Amino acid sequence: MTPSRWLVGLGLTVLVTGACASKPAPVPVPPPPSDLVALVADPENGTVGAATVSSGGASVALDSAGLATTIVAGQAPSAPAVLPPDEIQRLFGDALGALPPPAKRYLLYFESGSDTLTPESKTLVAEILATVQARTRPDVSVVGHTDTTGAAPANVTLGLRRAELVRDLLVTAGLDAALVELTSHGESNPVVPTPDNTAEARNRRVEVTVR
Amino acid sequence: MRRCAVLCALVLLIAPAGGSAQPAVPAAGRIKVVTGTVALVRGGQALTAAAGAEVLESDVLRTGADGRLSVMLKDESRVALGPNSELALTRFAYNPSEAQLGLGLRLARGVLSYVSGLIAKLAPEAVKLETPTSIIGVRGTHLLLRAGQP
Repeated sequence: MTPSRWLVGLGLTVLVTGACASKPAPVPVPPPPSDLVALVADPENGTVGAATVSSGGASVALDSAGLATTIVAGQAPSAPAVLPPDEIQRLFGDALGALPPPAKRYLLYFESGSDTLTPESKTLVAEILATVQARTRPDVSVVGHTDTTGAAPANVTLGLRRAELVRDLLVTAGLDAALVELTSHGESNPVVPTPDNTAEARNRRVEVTVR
Repeated sequence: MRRCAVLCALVLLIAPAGGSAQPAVPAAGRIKVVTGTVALVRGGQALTAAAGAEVLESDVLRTGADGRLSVMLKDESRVALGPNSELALTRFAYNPSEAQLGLGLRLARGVLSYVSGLIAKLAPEAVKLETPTSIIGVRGTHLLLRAGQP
């Protein structure tokens, strides 16, 4: 700082101090930093979940669409209030616009006691490929599942064989094998829960998920 | 002797580099959308944050004033950042068959859109979102977070 600037600064300080002596001027206090949390409808299916926001030893629940709370460090979150849609768009439009499309899941079923897909499931192969091609650097997971007939370890192997079959069908149809991750859940992850040793067609499936 | 010293030095130089080139940590997800200035920071090093790049647990994602970025995680969670934002993936575990599930996201600044995935569905208590002032428990599915004033 040059001496002349310093002098001007000192003069200003004296002036301000003088003014304050007669009447204390309101010093603008910047608002303390605050965060905001809002619950909104699911971008695809419109369902609304719930969240709990905790700060300063207190919590508030957000449980309907558009509810938001503001949080200042060390204090309880504010009572939830609706954040208008245009405010949501103003504050979060950029982030919302960058969301990738949701993962898409396909269930493929096998003819009873065979390695052959049902006719309906065969038609899904082209659809899966179209979804893969429409996405930015997709990942494809292929997970084999069985019903509870037979021993659990054998079903892990069977699930893996079914997953490999589906992977091979997809690769033959043009899918890049490098995008695929293969796994088997055996009988541990049924769509329809059943007792052990129960034949259930809906559980004999391969789940293909495109992310 | 001198040759040995040079060789040893080379080995020492190469060994850690080779180790970091192939991370033992499985990928947590993949960057999907990138616009403007963005960065992916891993172990203090800035990497290219292009669409298709893998994201690992402990990575930090940053966007500049013109930046936007989104990631699809393996459990199908989706996160998207607006401009001037910084997000750390503090925890990611997704191994449903062994009941290993966990997701931690810490928004240091900026804005985040989070759409929950299978971890929140299977084990909601295993999902923790944080801002500088608060901790958020999630029951699904779509949350918007802002850290600091716009």
